[in-house]
Amino acid sequence: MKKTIVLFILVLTASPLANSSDVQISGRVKLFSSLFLKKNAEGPYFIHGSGEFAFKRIEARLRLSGFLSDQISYSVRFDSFSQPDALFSEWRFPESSTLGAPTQAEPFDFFLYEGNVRINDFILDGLDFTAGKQRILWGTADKANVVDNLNPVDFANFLTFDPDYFAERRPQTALNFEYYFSGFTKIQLIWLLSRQISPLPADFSEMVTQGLMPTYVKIETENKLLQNTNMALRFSTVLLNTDIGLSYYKGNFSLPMLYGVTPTAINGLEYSYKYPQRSVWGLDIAGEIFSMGFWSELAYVQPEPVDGFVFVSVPSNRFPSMIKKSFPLFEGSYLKYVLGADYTVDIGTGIYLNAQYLHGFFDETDYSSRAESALGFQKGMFFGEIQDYILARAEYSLMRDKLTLELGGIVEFSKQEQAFAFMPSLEYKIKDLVTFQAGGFLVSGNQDHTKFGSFKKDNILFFAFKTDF
Amino acid sequence: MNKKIIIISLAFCLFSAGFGENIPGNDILKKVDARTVGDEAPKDTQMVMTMKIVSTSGNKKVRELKTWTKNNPGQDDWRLMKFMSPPDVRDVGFLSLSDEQMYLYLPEFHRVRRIASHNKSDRFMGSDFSYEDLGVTSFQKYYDAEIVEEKHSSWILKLTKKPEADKPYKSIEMEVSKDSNLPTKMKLYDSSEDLWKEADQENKFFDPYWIPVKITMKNIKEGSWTELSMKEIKTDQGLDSDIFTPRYLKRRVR
Repeated sequence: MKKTIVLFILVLTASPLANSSDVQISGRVKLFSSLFLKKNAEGPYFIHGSGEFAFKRIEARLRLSGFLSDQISYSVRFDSFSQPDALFSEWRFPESSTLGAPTQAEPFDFFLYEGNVRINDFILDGLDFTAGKQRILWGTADKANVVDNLNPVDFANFLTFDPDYFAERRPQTALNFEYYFSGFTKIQLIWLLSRQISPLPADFSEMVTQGLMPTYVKIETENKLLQNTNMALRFSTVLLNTDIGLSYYKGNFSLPMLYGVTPTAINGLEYSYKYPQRSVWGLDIAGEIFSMGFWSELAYVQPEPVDGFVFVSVPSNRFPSMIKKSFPLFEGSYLKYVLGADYTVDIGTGIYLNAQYLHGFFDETDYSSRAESALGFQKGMFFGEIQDYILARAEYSLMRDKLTLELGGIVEFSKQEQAFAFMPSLEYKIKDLVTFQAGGFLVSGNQDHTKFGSFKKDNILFFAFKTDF
Repeated sequence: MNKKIIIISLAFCLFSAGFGENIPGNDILKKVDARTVGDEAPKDTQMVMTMKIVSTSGNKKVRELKTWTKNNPGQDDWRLMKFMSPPDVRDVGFLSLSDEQMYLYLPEFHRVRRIASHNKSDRFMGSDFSYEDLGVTSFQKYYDAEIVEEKHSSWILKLTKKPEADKPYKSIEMEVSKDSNLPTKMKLYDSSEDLWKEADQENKFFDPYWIPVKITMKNIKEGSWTELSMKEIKTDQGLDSDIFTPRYLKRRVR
């Protein structure tokens, strides 16, 4: 371990930019903008008028990568977001920061998306080691990776309905060891130096606490101890011309979970949240059947036992009293899975079809029936009970890939109700590295008891310009 | 009588001269295979490729790739291709191990995608080459050949797909150079026997091997074409088999 740390420090302290001829600079500039098609005065997630902008964002990425030697490479990616609208209200001016940065007149965020060093044949032949913030490949499904609990889903960007960020996952800071027994058989050990936490949308806390009575949140935190880090292990090989992976993750739920409600002294409520621990055993496969590509992932989730609670009013002789009722938050272990296939239909230049059957969206959990009735978890809501989906898309390219038409869709099966989200888009390559994209996120189906149906009044149209350099 | 014998003999001689050694088509195809995937091909090859894609309207795109190929006589060759430029495709990788085992690595999506058989005839990264065109495999395994014409310096073969073969081209008209025993021109026909693509191939002698240095693939149906030019060619470097694995497919290339 000492040797690892010394080598790691040596690598990090050696300036990668010293040999500047080796530095590759690349990136992207993107403008994304979307509009609500109709008025929504009731929410639950967005309140807006018809024709109001849903989102406006300028995104810039900058990647620096290169080699220190044949075996040592590095990659750093900075992302920045900016919005054209100044932030001010009836009570507050668009002020700058104390250093004069136009913080509220030109809102701007800059962050490190990825930053890592990779050493091939580290200590042993066949052992590749990557240290730092990195996106770790885990599983074989197309975006709906139920076995991937290492890279938490970016829930904030999920709600921007920018197709580039649909179920997009965030890189994590980790030490990643990949040992290859042969070209196709490897064992991978990951030590994640922190808990996995999904970014939540802006004003999420306010959204959770809004209601008729004063409500508060109490989020369980923990010290940054060695034992409060996570790990994962994966063995993968090729058998009978099929890629197979077996994995194990010991970590936490990346989204906060409501586990208790406490009445407060001033007739309010306090919601207790935590990020419970869990182990996830995974199986992923990818191969070919009847000349059609297929993949599947199965995740067996073992959550830690968590005591949920609510207080109930019990009538007594003089005054009603409150009694704490406890119950297990989870029923026990449960399964999530996805099964997918793709095929190109030989019509014109070929229509690419991709379909996946998904049991358990990234935010869903199998709660105990008592937790369902006491805390209101059900199918058809975010952070709710596990349900089923079909995710499908068809792509057709014209003019030699200059123009690509895509019709994506999600069918949500929630108890007796269904919702349908249609995501049509067209992508036109103006020049080799410049793309214009336009499309929509259009929902139909039941509005009250489905997750996607709740966006029925939030249909949007979007456009985007992207340039890669 | 004598006159008759002389005329018949002369005619026979002329006929024989016209068809040289009178080799069956499959034997010529065997020679082609020997030079592409057999004992007479380099044990391995490493090269830089420039891919020029020209659309129907004349728009040009240029991509640069590094390619490693390992010859496995008797089996399909292994090939790894990594895009070096432009930036939007940098580090995209393609690994072909056999007709049934091909992978595409898309760094932007952090995904290694397996190419299923039915997708093998899809265009490779917007070019006029399909995934299958870029794999290296034996012709003999999937096609029967007959000589259509023999020229002074080449043979014209007609390749007909074997009934059990899973190939997108039903037949191929191939001109094989007598110098190099490598194809110089190919006409590729689809399942309806309509002309689909035309390939022109330029081969060069790098002692002791003949190696294709330029291939131009024209898509007759769409009117577009793609040119692959090879440079910095190195042969018999003793490339490690490990290069032709998903480990290297994902790896950034210097």
